[in-house]
Amino acid sequence: MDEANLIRRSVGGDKSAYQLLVEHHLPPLSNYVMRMMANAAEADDIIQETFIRLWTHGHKYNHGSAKLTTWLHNIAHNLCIDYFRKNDRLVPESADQPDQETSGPEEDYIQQGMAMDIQTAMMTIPERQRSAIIMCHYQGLSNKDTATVLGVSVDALESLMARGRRKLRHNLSTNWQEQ
Amino acid sequence: MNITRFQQLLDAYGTREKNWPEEEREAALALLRSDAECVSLMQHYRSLDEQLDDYVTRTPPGLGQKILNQLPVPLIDQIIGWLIPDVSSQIWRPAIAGSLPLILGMIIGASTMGSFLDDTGTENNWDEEIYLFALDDTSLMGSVDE
Repeated sequence: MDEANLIRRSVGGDKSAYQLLVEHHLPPLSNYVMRMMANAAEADDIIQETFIRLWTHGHKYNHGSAKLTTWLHNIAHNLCIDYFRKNDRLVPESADQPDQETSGPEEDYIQQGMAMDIQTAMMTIPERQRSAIIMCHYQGLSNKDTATVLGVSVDALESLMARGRRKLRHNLSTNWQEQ
Repeated sequence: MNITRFQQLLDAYGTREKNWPEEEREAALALLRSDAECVSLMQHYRSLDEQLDDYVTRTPPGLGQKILNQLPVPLIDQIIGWLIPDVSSQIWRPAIAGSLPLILGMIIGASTMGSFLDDTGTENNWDEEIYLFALDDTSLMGSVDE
């Protein structure tokens, strides 16, 4: 069904239309938030809040200016950043020490083995770099959509991702050498 | 597209061609086919993408239903839900909502009816009230000199 029509109906209070939107967008969005947070309970709260905003603030979405998935990623990204800020857990963008301690990850959300190293390494890079890599690598968002979500130019996005990937490579190679 | 830009693409977007900018993808692939250095660079950068692919997440079961259950309920639905919690059919809700003013009117009417009742519970007549007032009013009689 036409997504624009579903959004219109959802904004008008049609729960069945809203349910279809949730069913379609929940899996990719939950993957994004879980990789951002690496904590099941925190991720759950942010995913729920993101979709409740679709219900309560759906009228603010402009179908012509962005895809719904971009709009939802934008909300989720901002909620993640707000959460890290409120809890004093932001990783400084200027961090030159890639091997910082992070909060404990939850095994339910990842496969065994190397995935844990990657999750740990992901949590050591600044949130905007992490978000950019997740959106481009896992979510399949285009560079322009990702730049829109992060509120940066495409050039700045490339810089963020390049720095993030370099830190990831460094952290992962350090982990393997330690093992 | 040149080798410098190709390396910048790998640096930022990795080795998955679907992740490269759409407008540069074809040119990058053409360079990759023609330049052995590009192939070597791809091999160098590939391991990170493979490691990233190992990081799989899954949607928590029941989360979709949890979201639907937590939607804010409109005020009128809250009132009806409070009045009649077990209304199973949505079709009755407008009818019940429409009858609320009638019920409210009946309640107000019943509560103000008490002021028209005297202590014995019998209904007063307005004409009788005015007549009794007139009898009590001595000012209508004028002054009498004795």
